[in-house]
Formats: sequence, structure tokens, C-alpha cells
Amino acid sequence: MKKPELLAPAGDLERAKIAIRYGADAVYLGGQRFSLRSRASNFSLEAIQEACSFAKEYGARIHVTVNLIPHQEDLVGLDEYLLALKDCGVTAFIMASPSLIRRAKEIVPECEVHLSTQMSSCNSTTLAFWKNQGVDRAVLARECTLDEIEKITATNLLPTEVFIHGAMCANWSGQCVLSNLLTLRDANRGGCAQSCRWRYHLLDQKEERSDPNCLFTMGSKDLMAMDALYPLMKAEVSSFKIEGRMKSLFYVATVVRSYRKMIDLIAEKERPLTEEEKAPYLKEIQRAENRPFGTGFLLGDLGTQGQLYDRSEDYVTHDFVGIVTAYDAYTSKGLIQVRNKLQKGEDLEVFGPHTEPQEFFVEQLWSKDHEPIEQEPRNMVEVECGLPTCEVGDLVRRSRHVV
Amino acid sequence: MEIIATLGLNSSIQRLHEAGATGLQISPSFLAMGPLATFSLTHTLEAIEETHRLGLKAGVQINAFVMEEQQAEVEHQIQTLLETQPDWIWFHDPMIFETLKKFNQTSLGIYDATTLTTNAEDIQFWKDQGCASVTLSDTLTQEECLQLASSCPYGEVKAFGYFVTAVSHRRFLTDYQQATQLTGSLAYQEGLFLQEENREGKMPIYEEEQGTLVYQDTIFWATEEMKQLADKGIKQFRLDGSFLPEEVLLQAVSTLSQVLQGTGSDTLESQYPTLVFSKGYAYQKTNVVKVK
Repeated sequence: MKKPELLAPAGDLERAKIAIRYGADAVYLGGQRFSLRSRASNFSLEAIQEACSFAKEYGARIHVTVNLIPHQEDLVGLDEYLLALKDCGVTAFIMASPSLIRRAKEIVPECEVHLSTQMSSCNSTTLAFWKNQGVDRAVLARECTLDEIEKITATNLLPTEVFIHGAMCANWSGQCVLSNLLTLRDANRGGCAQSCRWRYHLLDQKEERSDPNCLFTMGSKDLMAMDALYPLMKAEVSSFKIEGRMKSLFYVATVVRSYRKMIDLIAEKERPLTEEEKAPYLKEIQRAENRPFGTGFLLGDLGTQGQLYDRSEDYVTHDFVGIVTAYDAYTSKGLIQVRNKLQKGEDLEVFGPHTEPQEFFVEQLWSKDHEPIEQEPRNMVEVECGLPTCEVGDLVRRSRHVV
Repeated sequence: MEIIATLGLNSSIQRLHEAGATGLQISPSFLAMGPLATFSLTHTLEAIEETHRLGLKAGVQINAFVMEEQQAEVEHQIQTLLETQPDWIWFHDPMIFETLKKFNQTSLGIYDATTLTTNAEDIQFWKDQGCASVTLSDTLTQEECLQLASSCPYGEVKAFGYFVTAVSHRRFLTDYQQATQLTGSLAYQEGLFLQEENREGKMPIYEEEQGTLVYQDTIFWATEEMKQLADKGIKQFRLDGSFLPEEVLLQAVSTLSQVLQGTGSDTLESQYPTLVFSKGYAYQKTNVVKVK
């Protein structure tokens, strides 16, 4: 069975490398201009070049979002930017503006153009239109059902890319400027303030209709397409996309690793995964996911079940503790670069691209100078401790439920 | 100069004509979204014919998102509409444009993606495809509109009304109603508003079968600015009567018509002191960072 590209988000170079190491076939990221996530760290050209070089080592690809809806003032320097991205080794541009697409195909035809989900593509005739404009792949609207995705993809007009995991825009992408209205931040130029997730009174003329204990919101549950992977693969969707350029390194590693393993398993078995086979991956994803999830529109509109009315927002079960930066199999000791206070006497877990999750107890901690210490609260400082068999680059996490 | 007004199911073509409208926009229920999208295909055909009979131009708004299975029906309805020779078809889904192309009618197309036409190059792109016009995004400032009016005088400007600020495939009101067990139907109801818990503005919200629309919290009205745009070359202005009594739309059409012709002044706001008007983003630049 043909495997789709697993496309992961990255907000910075470290996350791009982690995504690739944990199994992404491609990474999408934003440069410092023309991109839609102003609050993501975003990449300098040097960082994009390094990401491309790193990706090449692993046979992976880098896609760059050039997907803002530009005002006139935003267009300055576009040609130079696209040429520089090509020189960095970028495989594809993710674009929405038709004039940007036209320009990209004129000056850097060797780079692919992928039509952004901002253009809300939800039928095959629309794909035919964009194919004629030179588009090489279309990211389908998140509003499409599985059945619609299958039918659109079967037309073979353009390779299709589909979101399989992450936050869902409550409104049609590109057709929501709530942030513009409520915060003067332009949602179509990277300023989305997620105003859809705010709370609103629902009024009938002047009378309150909303429940004061549960105000109206447009916020929706995140997408988790585990149940749709097999039919999407069977439909030969070209790329499975994970949302979240603003998400943490821990999230990227956990989610990418889980989908990598599920895709590989489905391809090997050529059938849908059983509930028993899916269970460990579901558990794994929940360790990093901070919102409840559903199937979006893939299996039809979930109605009330797809919406988030509950204020208890924190669903993540594990915290990121650090990254393994050295490991000695002979002494079973290693170095952990701390990202979230680590102390002696904790029960932790290590996992990685080739390391199944393994629990371990921090019996003793040493500073890098081999001095015994009780704890290390400082970020980025390396500490030494006993570790089960693992690799450099593996991540260490802590369950929130351990007493 | 075209002054185009939206037509409601119960509004009078004759009165809009007398107020100064030169064209009408009709919204069929299957092809369009919003509170005015209540015309059956038969009603739409009749309205186009009646509008033409009175010497006005008639256009059809197709702002629904076309899902894969709906394409055949959409194409059939467009083909039927074209038999009455409408003057314009507003669209945002390229599927509609491809259908117009199939029937050699691309010159009827007005690309109206509400939020997506923000620069001269994108507007020119749609013009190059053969469209008659492109609706400028209402998120543009007056300064930006003036620049675009110079470079793209074939652009259309939205001149009046509650403008859409978000469109969803979800049925937010029905979902909320079920979650909170509110009584009575909220779908297809006008007169519902959202008010963000820490803000004053009241945004009209409207749900129908195809999803939910949320509108800006004020009525856009800026006659002086429209006159400036007309002087720069813009020839098409559109007024939207959604959520408003017909008399307010008639008065707006009449006022704008007179202001653009230099034969009258603007007293609309003083006539309707309970309505909240604003100049939208004309002097409020949106950006990517928080503006204090």
C-alpha cells in the first residue's frame, strides 16, 4: 500500500529537526515574511537553508508557507524572497494569493506550489481551475468529508493534501476576519487572535439568550483522524498534514512519531488498524494534546460534539522534561538537557523515534561536573542521570498523574 | 455608475428603482448564504425578469461553498439562470467561474471573496481571467482603496450594510442550543447578536442549512469616502440591506446616489439615531500584531 507523505509543522529549526527525526517525510515552516503565523518563531533564510540540508540527509523535504493574503505594501521583495528560498533547497511553497502563485511559477518553476487551505478548496472543478494556474498540489478544506476527499482525489486532477491532526478553524479558512474586527489584527496576514475561541453573549435583540454558565463560543475540538487513516491512504491522498506551527517540540515529536508508526503499520498490513492496535497511539497522542479531539468533518459534521463549550482547557497528560544529549550504554547513564525542572526521586519516561516509551526512576542526579544535586530548575542546563536504553535526541517526559 | 442594492424576498424592485438603484443583487437559497438568500430558483428567475422589465440590471450572488456532490446541481441552476441573461454573477469559488467559462459567460463574473482581494495584482488576476469586476475587500483602508481605484478602476466597492466577518460550515446556533438545552429554534432567525463578553459591539449572527455567518457590529456607511473613490474611477457600488428595514436601504441608496451625483447631502445617520454606523476599516489599519 502506498504511503502518503507525513507533513509536520515546525515553528523553529529545533522543531523542524525533531519532526524529521521522529518520522516526518516533510516539514512545513514559515519564513520571516509572507507567512501566516506571526507569533511562531519563524525562520531566517539561514535557518531555512539549514533545515533543508538537514531534511536532505534524511530524504525529507521542506515546504515554506508563503500564504498570507497580501496587501499592496506586503508585496515588496517577493521575487528576491522566492529566489532565495529556491536557493535554500525548498521543495514547495504553500500559497493562497493567485498573483503570488502566478509569480512563483514564472520565476521559480522548479519549486512546487501547493494551494493553501486558505482558499477553501472543496470540489474537483476548483482543483481543475488551480491546476490550470500551475498549482502542483491542493490542500483541501477541512470542511470536506472523507467521502468528498475520496471523490475529489479520485479525479486525479491534482495531488491532494489533507489535515489529519490539530486545531480546526471554526470558520472557513480565509473567510474569517473576526480578529480584524475585535483586535485589529489581520487574520489573513498572520495576526489571528483565535477570537472564535472567545466567549460571547447570545442576544435576541437586547434579551440574553445564552446560558450565563456556558456562554456561546465558536471554538471547536481539535482534529484527530486516526480512524480515517486507512480510507485516506486507500484513496491515495498524497499528503497527511499535522497542524501546529505554534505547538511545542514535545507535541511535534509525540504526534509525528505516533502517526509515523500508524501509517507504517497500515501500509504493512494493508487494512485498517484494530481498536487494540490503535489504543497505544491514542494514549500516546493524549500525552501531548491539550484539547479534546474529534474527527472534524471527516466522518460528517459532529454537531454539538464537535464544539468546545467546556472551560477546563487542559487535557494534556504529560509534561516535557528534557532531551537526551548523550547516552552511554556501558554505564547506562546519560545527559539530559533540561527544559522543565527535573528533580531527584521522580518517575519519568523516555521515548524516541526508535525508543519505545520506557519508565525510569531518577535515583540520583549529577551536574555536568559530576557533583550530586537534588534538582535542576534551569532551562537548557545539562544534568547526568541513569537512563534506560535510549538514543541521543530522545525526549524525557513526566506524567501529570504521578503522585 | 452602478448603484446596486440587495433584493429581499419582500422588498420592492419598483421602490429600489425609484430610490436610485441601477441594479439589484438577488440571492438564491441553494446558491447563496445569508438572510437574503431566500429566493427559490423560480423566484430568482422571476425577479431577474421583473428587474430587467423595469430597466435595471440584475445579478445573482453565489457565495455558498460548493461541495463535491453539489456540483451538478449548481451547474444546472447556473445554466437555468443564464437563460434569463443576468448581468452579473458574484462568486468566490473558482468552480462557479469554471461553470461560467463552460457556458462562455465569464464576462458576467464578479470575483467577491470578501476578505481575499487586497492588492492590485490579485484583482488583475481575476480581471485577466475574463471577469467583469472584482469586489474590493472591506478590510482595506480608504488609502488602500484609493490606490486600488487608480490601478483597478473596474473594482467594485461595498458601500453600505452589515458586512460579513466570518463564515462557517458549522451550525453554531443549533449546536449551542443543543449543548445548553435552550428552547425555541435559533436557525433562520434574524435579530440574533453576539456580544463578546468584554466588549460592547453586537454582531448579527445568522444560521442556515449551509452554515453560519457572523457580521460586523456596525453598519458601514461612508458617503464622502465613496465619492472620493468614484472620483478616482470606481464605477460600481453595492449596498446590502441584510438585517435592516427596507426603508433604511432605500434611504441609503437614495442618499448615495445623490452624493455621487453631487445633488444631495448625507443625513442618513441622523435619520436613524438608534442604528450604529461606522466607516469600518477605512481609517483603522489592521496589522499582524496587537494594536493598543
